[in-house]
Amino acid sequence: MTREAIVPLQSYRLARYAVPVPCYICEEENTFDAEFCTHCAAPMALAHQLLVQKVQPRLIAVLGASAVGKTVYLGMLIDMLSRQPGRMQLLARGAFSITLQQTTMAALAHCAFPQKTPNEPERWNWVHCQVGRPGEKTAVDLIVPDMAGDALLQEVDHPHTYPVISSYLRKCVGALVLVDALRLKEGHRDQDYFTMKLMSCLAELDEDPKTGWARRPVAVIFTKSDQCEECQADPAAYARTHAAGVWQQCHKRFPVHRFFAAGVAGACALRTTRHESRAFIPLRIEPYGIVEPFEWLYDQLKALGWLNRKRALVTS
Amino acid sequence: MNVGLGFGLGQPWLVLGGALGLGYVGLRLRDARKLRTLGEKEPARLEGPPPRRPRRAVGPATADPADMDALVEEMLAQGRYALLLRPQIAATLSQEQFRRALAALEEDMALVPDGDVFLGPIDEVAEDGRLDETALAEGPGRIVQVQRFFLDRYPVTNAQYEAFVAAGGYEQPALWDPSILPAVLDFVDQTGRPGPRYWRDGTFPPGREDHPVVGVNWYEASAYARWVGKRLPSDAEWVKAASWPVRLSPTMRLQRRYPWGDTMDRTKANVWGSGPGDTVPVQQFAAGVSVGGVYQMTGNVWEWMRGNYLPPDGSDGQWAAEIGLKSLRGGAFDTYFDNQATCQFQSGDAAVARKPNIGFRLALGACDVVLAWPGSERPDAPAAPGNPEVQP
Repeated sequence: MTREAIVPLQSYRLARYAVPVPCYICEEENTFDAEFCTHCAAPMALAHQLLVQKVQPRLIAVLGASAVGKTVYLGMLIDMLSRQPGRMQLLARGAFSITLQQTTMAALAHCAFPQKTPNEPERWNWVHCQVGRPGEKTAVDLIVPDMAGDALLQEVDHPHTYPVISSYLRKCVGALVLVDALRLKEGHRDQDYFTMKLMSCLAELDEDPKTGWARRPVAVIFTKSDQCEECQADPAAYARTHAAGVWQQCHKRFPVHRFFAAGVAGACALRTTRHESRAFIPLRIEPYGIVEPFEWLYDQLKALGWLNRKRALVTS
Repeated sequence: MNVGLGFGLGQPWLVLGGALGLGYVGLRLRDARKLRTLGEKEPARLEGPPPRRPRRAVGPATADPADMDALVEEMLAQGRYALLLRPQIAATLSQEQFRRALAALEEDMALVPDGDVFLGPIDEVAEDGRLDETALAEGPGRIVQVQRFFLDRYPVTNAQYEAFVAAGGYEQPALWDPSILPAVLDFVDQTGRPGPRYWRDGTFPPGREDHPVVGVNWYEASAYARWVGKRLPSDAEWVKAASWPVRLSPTMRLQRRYPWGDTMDRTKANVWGSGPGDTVPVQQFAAGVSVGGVYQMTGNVWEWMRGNYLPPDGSDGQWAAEIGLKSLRGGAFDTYFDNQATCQFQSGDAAVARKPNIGFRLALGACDVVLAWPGSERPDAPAAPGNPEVQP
C-alpha cells in the first residue's frame, strides 16, 4: 500500500551544508548551522559575524589561575569603557558580547562576586568589541574570551585537553596575565608557579624573534590589590619580591611587559558558605587600576604594528 | 532602640574618659575665672565671629591656662564650641562667649529632629519613595527611634583636623581608646609624623585645606571627636539626616533613597564618573544637599559610623564571627554603583583602615549641650539683654 505525501525540497539547506564555515579560532571547517565549533568548541557566532562584517579582529588573552579574578576584571573593564568613553571607547559587537558584562555587573552591584566560570568551553562568555581612543579615525575589533582558570591549568599540564585554548593562544597578539596579589602576600607560592607555567607555555607557542611573544605585549596584573597596599604602591617591586619566578620570566622572555595593580572591591568580608568553604564577599565596589593595563596594552599593540589592518593575522 | 544619647553607652571607659575630659576643661575654665577675678588681667574681647570655613590650622595650644578668655577664644578657633556648650562649662561663659559658641554650632551643624527611621534595604519595598510598614516588617530591616541631634553640615576637613594634630591630639592618651593606645604610634603620615596617612610633615597636601580629611581610621576619627566634644554618628542618625523620613500615615512613610530624592543624579554627588576621581572641597556639589542642609551625604568620602557593620542576613551561609568591621555610609568619589551610594547602603571596613576615600563627620546630641544661656557664674559677666536660643 502506498501513500502520497508532500515533502518540501530544502535544496538551499543542502547547498549551505556543502559550503563549510571555518571556525575563527581553530580554522577547522564546520557546517553553517553549528552553534559551536565541533573541533574546539569556540562559538561559531564569531565566524558568522566576521564573514558578514568583513573584519579581522585581533585576539587578546586574559589568563590566570582559578579564582584570580579574570571574570570580574574583564566584566568590569568592559563596563567601565562602555560607560565612560573619555579615555577609550568600547562598543560590544553582537548581543553575546554583552552577557559577560551583564552577569558580572549584576553580581557586583549586589555585593557578590560572579559565579565561577565553568570548565566547558561552550559555556564561556566571549566578547567581540570595537575599541579605540577618542579622535581615532578607525576602531579596532578585538575578541576576548573569559576562559576558566581550571581549564587553562589542565591545558598547560595536559596539552590538547582543551584545543580551543591552544588555538586561541597561538593567534593572540597580546595578553593580560592576572596574578592574585592577596595569595602572594599570604605566602602561597601556587600563584607564582602557575603563572610561570602559563607564561612558559605562552612563550613557547611562538618563539620567532620578530613575530613571537618577544614582540607581543604582556601586562601582568596583580588583582585584589585593594587588600595589598604595598602592591598598589609599586607593582614591579611587588613582583620582584613576591613573585620572583614571574618577574624573571617576564624579563627573559617577554621584553614588552609591565606590571600593574588592580582591584574592584573597596573592602571584603569572609563568609562561610553552606558547603563550609570560606569566600570573600565584596562590601562595596571601587574599581582601581582596571583600565590602565588595557590602555597600555592597546598602545603597545599599536606601536608594534599589531593593529595595522594590512598586517596579516597571526596564524599557526 | 534608643540612640542619640551621647557616646559611651555600654562602654564604661568612654563614659569615664568623657567625664574626665569635661571635668578637666571645666576646672581649667573655673580656675581661669578665679584668677582673673583677683585682678590679674582684663580680658580682651574679639569683635565678630571668626571665619568659619575654611578653618585654618591654629597651631599648638598657646593659651595661658589661667586666661579664661584666651582659652575660650582658642577653643572657638579650633572648632571646639561643642565643649563650651556643655552644661558644666556653659555656665562659666560670658553671654557673648556663649552666643559665639552657639552661633558656631548653628553655622557648622544642622539640627535633625527626633523621630523614627527605617534601616535596611528599601529597593524592593519602596513605591515612589513611599514605604509600607507592613511590607517593611517582612523584610530584613528595622525601624529605629532617633533623638534630636546635631550633625556636621560638612565632613571634617584637613584644616580642621590639622588643628587637632597641631594641638598634640595624638599625644593625649585620654582622647584614645585604651585598647588602641600602643598602636597610635603607628598612626603616622608619609614622613613618620603623627597625622593622617596621606599627609607629609604633619600637614595636608597644598590646596586641600577644604577637602575632607582622609587616611584616618576609626580610632583617629573617634579621638578627634572627643577632642572637639562631639561623637561619631550612629547609623540610624546618619540615615535619618540623609534620607529625612516623613510619616505620611500610621502605616506609610516617605524615605528618600538619596539626600535630594529618589533618583540618582550624578550632577549632585561626587561619585565614580561624575567628579575628578578624587576628593573635592566639602562645599562642592551643593545641589545635592539634604533637606536639613547637610552637604555631601552621598559621595566624596565614605564616613565612619559609631557602630559596627552589620552584614545582611543570607540563607547561603554564615558570616565569619570575627568580622568586627566598623560601619561606613555615604559612598565616595570612586563608588561605582548607584545603589551603593544610597542613604540606606551600608558598607564596612576594619577599624584601623586608613584609606584615601574614608573620612568622617560628627554628631552631637541636642540633649548634651545647652542651647539657652544659663546665666554666667562669673562675677564680671554683663547683664543679659535676652537669652540667645537656637531656632530650629
